[in-house]
Amino acid sequence: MPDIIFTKALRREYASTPAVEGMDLAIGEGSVAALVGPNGAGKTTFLKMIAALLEPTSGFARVAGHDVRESPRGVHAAVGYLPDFFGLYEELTARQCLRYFHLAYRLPEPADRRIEEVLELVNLRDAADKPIESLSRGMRQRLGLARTLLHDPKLLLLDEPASGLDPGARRELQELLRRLASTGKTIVVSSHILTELEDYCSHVVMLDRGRLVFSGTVAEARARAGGGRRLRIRVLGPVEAARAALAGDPAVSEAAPAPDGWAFRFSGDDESAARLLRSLIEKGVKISSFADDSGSISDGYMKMMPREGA
Amino acid sequence: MNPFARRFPELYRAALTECPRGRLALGAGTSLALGMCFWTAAGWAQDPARLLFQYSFWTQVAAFVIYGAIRTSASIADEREAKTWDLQRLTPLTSGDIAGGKLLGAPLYGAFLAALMLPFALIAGLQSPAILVELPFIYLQFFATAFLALSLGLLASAYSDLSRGGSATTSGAMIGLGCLYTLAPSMAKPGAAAFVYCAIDVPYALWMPAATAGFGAWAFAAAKWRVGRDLLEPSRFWRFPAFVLYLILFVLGFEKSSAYYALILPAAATLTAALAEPTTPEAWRRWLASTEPLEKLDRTPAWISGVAVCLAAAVVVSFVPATAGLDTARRVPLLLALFLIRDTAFIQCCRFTNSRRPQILALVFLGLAYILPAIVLATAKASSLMYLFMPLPEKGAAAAVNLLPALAWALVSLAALAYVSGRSTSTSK
Repeated sequence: MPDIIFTKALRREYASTPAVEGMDLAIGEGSVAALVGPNGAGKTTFLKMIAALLEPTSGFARVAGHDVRESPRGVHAAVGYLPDFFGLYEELTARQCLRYFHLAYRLPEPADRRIEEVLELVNLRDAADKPIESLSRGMRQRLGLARTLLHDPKLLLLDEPASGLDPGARRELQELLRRLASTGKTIVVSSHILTELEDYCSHVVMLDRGRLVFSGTVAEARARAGGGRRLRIRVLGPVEAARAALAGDPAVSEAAPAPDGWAFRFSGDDESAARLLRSLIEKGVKISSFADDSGSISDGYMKMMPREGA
Repeated sequence: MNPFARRFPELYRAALTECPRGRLALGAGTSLALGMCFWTAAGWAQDPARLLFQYSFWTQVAAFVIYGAIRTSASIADEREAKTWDLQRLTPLTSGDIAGGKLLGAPLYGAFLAALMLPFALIAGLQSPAILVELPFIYLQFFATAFLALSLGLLASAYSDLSRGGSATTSGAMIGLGCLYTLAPSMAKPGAAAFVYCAIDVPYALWMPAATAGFGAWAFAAAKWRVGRDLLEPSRFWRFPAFVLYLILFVLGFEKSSAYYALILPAAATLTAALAEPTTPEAWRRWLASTEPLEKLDRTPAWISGVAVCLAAAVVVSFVPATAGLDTARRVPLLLALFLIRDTAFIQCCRFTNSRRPQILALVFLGLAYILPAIVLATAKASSLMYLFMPLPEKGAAAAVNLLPALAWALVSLAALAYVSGRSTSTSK
């Protein structure tokens, strides 16, 4: 998987204060990366540099084969960037707004088909002829996303797309991002709501105070959170019988009581986990639940982020 | 789709936002009513054609030049404020596409209103052969002035972050009204005799629109350059020096202009550039750090290249042709160039401070540097010492004595700049 984003010692400072520094990062094509970090971690600055909207103070960044410094326009053509706060031309309708950007992106005519496609994709067809000023926040966010998709970019950079949305709109956005991820686009999405990223992200990039804290797959982030793979069982009847059955498996260690069952570290693979489940059932343990109890991205985040004052 | 709108997408948007049908109908109705009123009112005058022409022409000026300048003054600032500017920056539109689109799109409604008044002006022309003869020149000058006003509005907008609180409207209106000063006198004498410019007899009717449009073109180029900077387009070192050189040659072109004062306008332009665009510490460091000669040249702060051209021009004007002494008049360009070095270097020094408004800080201190000595020396009746603090030639002093204080000021300012620049570079490491 070739790297669509590659940075080396990337640094950006504002009035001598570094907002991003020493950023060495590679994100492969087709991945869906969650960019997480506390406020002021440098997420927006990083995304703006990658979108070639902000010149790095030093270091190197290549996006979709273009050096952000040498060929910012090449980067713009390959990237769809949705800023955290963005405006729309309020007096226009959603369709007129997309028509304007269709012209601005110098896309081939006729425009109508492409505009219909993106309106369909973001589920905004019904509101296409309404003035933008009358659209809800969720609709505006989807229109913003439609604009970023208009020129069919390889890479989507979304800065806090869910911020300020109600739960319903967040769910719709999540669905949309999942659909986009399934089309093979590379997506880098920054968010504070980590649980919502877990479902469709393949990679996690954690920033703190402008520095890269962690970069890897979601599984690696979870493993760091849990210190290895953990499983959890719930049983019907006496839990001690289950404890004895677990003790016989060499892959099980550090078993600890959990509500109606046990949580334990498991060193085997999925095949061994299936074997363990079968053996528990054969030994007469009534299993009501057998689940992965590894840490979430949030756990990984909490574990890896340096504490304030540390 | 209209090929113009394909070339400048801003026109498509402007047609929808500036000229919705209701507004067009209202504008058309009002213009027609206004035109009929003018016609009726002019009928009572001694020279009805002249009055009708003046009424309709100045309404066109108000609609296109003043209202147009207000709209272009708000064009980019509005986008920055509404946070749509970044979205434009992400498109493949070049600075020329954006600046050209704004220049044509923002005053669209004003152009529509002006066009509606044109028939009344033409009717007046048809009624009076004298007006008909003047029409080509008057409209040539009208378009040149409109171009200047719209370009200046665009330039102001390109440098502005906010249009809130009516600042864009105010600056646009001031620009529009200011440009009327170039239009009004030329309207009074369209048939004025030719005058000598660059040793050539140039008809006034040609020279005036050409000069106005020339400055309009420079203003547009500056706005385009500022937009290009937002688009991270590469800057080219020769652009500002070319403008400074144009100003020098423009002044020198006048038959009666004194070569020794040719530097006043370019020096003012360089000082304005230093105030409007002082190099940020970060850009300064990047300029110093660049190793590629061409890149270094392109990253050179505009005020430095402006000062370099002024200094070179000063040396040429002062020493060519070489004579034994440097009389007082010939010292003026050198004095101006040295004080320009002092002032621009000081402005850049202020940019390295933590002040939130370094330009204002610099302006206050520079104002004091000129005003205080003037007050003190005038009070002490020691005006002959004024040359120590100002770029003034002193008849009683030898050339070296006259130039030495200016040179000392320039060197002190440059040393201070080297010091703060070095300190800033070491802190950032």
